[in-house]
Order: sequence, then structure tokens, then C-alpha cells
Amino acid sequence: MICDLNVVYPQEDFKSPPSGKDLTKLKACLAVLEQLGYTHVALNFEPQWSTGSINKQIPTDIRLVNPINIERDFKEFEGRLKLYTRITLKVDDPSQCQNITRFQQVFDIVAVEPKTERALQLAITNLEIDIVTFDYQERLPCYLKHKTLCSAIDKGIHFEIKYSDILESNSHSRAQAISNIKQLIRASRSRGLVCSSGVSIPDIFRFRSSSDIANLLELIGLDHNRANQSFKDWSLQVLLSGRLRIKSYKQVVTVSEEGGLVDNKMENKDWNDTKNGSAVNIKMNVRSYLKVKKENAVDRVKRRRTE
Amino acid sequence: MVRLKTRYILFEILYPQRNTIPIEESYDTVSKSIISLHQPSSQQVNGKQIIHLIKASLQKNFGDYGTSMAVGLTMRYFSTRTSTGILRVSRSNCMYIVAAMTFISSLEDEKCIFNCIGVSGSIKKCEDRSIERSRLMIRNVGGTNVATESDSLTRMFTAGDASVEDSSHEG
Repeated sequence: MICDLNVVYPQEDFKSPPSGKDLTKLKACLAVLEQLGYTHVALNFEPQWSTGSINKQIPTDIRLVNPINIERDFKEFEGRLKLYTRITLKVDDPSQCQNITRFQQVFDIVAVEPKTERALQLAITNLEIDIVTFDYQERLPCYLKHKTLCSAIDKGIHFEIKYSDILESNSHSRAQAISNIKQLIRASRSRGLVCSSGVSIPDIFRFRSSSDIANLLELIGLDHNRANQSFKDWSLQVLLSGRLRIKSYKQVVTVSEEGGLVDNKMENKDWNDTKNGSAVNIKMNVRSYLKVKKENAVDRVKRRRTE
Repeated sequence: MVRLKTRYILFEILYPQRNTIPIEESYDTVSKSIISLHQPSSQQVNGKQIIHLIKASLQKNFGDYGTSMAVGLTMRYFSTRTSTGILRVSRSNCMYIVAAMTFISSLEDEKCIFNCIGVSGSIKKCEDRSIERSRLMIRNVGGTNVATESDSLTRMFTAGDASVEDSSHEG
């Protein structure tokens, strides 16, 4: 179980869906990831606005909030890759973050990219999120303190390393990225790190296998075991915590057949599915599960005949 | 007498942006994505060239100190047909060589992905692993509807030249 929790979805606002060409390119990216041995992939929707101005842009209809339709657009990858959806919000004004609960209802993972020190503080203390990420090619918003980061990690928030920034061809921004990642490793005491690609579709050749990147992280200063864990255990923890927010109620959780809590095989992944004009597939809705009919004697005979 | 400790790196080259196969056909099924990615390299590519590429990458990313790691770096096997190869490095420098290979993103002006499949102390294990891997791949390609895949297979084989030139020898 190797995860890549950040493949950029080619769309920047809520209204304009990606063109068919972009979608085929994205699928080619997913095929590369599959061949490199990844099993769990999250498609990352990054709205271009930061929190100050995003409030006016969010559609009022909950069905339109998540533009990624795995059920409809990614039918080919059923049984090959487990696909999830993720949103990354750029936070600059910490007082404008009330809308985050709307995203929690329809995205598997909610990530935050703080732009200021106050935003980072708020994201860690107040917001219910899974991942904190940074723009590694720029300077970090502030000096990362051990105390702040570790309180976040104790809460279950993970920090993301994007390896596409290390493979960048521009050597200045690459140097900045490596120094930023070193800072992050130091401040987090090499705990609670998630490594993901962060590759957008034109850079399809930037994908690498997880063992290669783990080797690279080892050179940067993470130890061998933890470098591997950032692709496996810790990424799965993020998925689990993100999905438990949607798929649990009081102390009841939903479990699918094979993969336990992380598996989403039996779910209705179509977020804008409707019934009688109202959204059915929102938080904690039992009806959003697909029903499985048990095979009886007649079905068995039919199946054998077709075989 | 102190033994020279070596490591053998098994790697493959993937071509995600080959234009011989249209992008719409490259992801539908597992077999199609295997065929579209595991393409033969051009006939001009040889072991020496890849060693040179790795040395250049070491120089770019780790400087003169890094270039010193390339002492004793030899290509033991490389096949353009399967784009798979085995490198021999000294044990202490192994990590830097793998890192240098991850930084490479193009070969002969074509975008590519270097994927290190495994590192082992004996060349035998690398060969075994390579054989097992190709066997699995062929099973995945041939397992489902061979008939529809055959045209893309023939396209793949007519694209490269027929002559195979492997520089394989036992270590």
C-alpha cells in the first residue's frame, strides 16, 4: 500500500470543468503511477483564491463544491487504483475560515496551505484538517518552531513534502525547496511527515517510484525507516483520519470488505448524485453505499453459462 | 585480503511521453498502460551513454565530491529492447548513484523516468528479479484479451530495429 496524496487536478475554480484533453492526460499520469507501484492516489483540487476572496466563489449547492467526479470520469481505474479527492486551501486571512466545514462534507482529505504565521497557528489550533502543506519553492511564511509543529502532530495533523519541488530544473528554487524541507524535518523531529508528488499534468515525467524518493529523503536527512513510512503508514493515517470524518457517526464506523477503513470500493463516489432534487451523497449518509446482492443459485448458473 | 564490496542496481527506463502510441490508448487497461510505458529505447542508446548521463547528473547535483562516487561505476547489462539494465557500484556510493539517477529526466532529448527496481549484493539476484518482473508483466499483458492488444504489440516491435545488441556477461 503506497500512497501518493497529491496529483494536481487540472482545474482552478468551481465553475469551469477540465477539458477532455486534460482528463486524458491526467489518466495517463495515473497509469504511470500505477506502473510505479502506487495503490492509493488522491486527486488534489486547488482553488486559485485564498480564503479572503473564496467565500464569494463557493457554490451554494453542496453538490457543486467537489468538481472531481471519480465515479463518472475515472471508470477505467476501478480495481486498479483507489482514488480519493482532496482540496488544498490557501489561507491568508485566518478570520475567514468558517466555510471549511462545507469542504469536509464532500472531500476525503482537507489540506491547508498557510501563507502567514497567524494562519499557520490557526490551522494547527482551530481547524479540523488533515494536512498542512507549504509552497516549498518560495520562502516559508515563518520560522517553523518545534513546539507548534509537534502540537499539530500530536493532534493528528500531518505535514506534506512535495518531491516534485526537489526535482525542479530551476536550481535556485530547488535549493530553496531542499532547505525548506530540511527545516520541516528538523522542526517536526522527523515525525508525521507525508511525502507526495505534487506533479501537475504537463510534468508527467516527474513521477518517481517511492523507493527512489525515500533514498533521496535519506540523503536530505530523514532516516531510512521514516522515509519509507512517509509513503506508507503516515499517508494511510492521513487517509484514515480524513475519511473517518465523513464515514463515522458517534462511535460507529463503516468498514468495507477487503481494505478495512481506508477502502472505498463500496461507496458511491459520485458527489453530485441526486435523488428527488436533493443531494444524497453528503456526510454520513447510509444511502451513499452501494448495495451488494448476494449470489443465489440462479445467478450462479447464469454466471457459469456466460463463462 | 579485504574484499571489495559492491552493489548491483537493477533499473528500468520508462517513457511516459512516447508519441508512437496515442495518449487516449495508453491507460484503458493494465496491459495497455504496461505496453505504453515500457517502450524499447532507441538503438543509439548504450551503456556508456547512460554512465555518462549519471556522471553528468552527479556533477550537477553533488558537485566534484559527487563525481568522485562514480569511480568503479560500470554497466554490467543493458538491453535497449526492454530498457532494463544492471549497474555495478561500490557499496558506500550506492545511495548517491541512485539519487543521481532519480534526478535524470531526459535521455537523448526524450523525456523519461529512471526507475530503480532493486539493489542487491549479487548480480544473480538482480537477474532473477528482472526475469520474475518481466514474467509478471507478460502475464498481465497477455492475460486479458490478447487479440485486441496484438496490434499495439506489433506496432511496438516494428517501431524498433530488429537487431538486438545486448552487452550481457556474468559478473
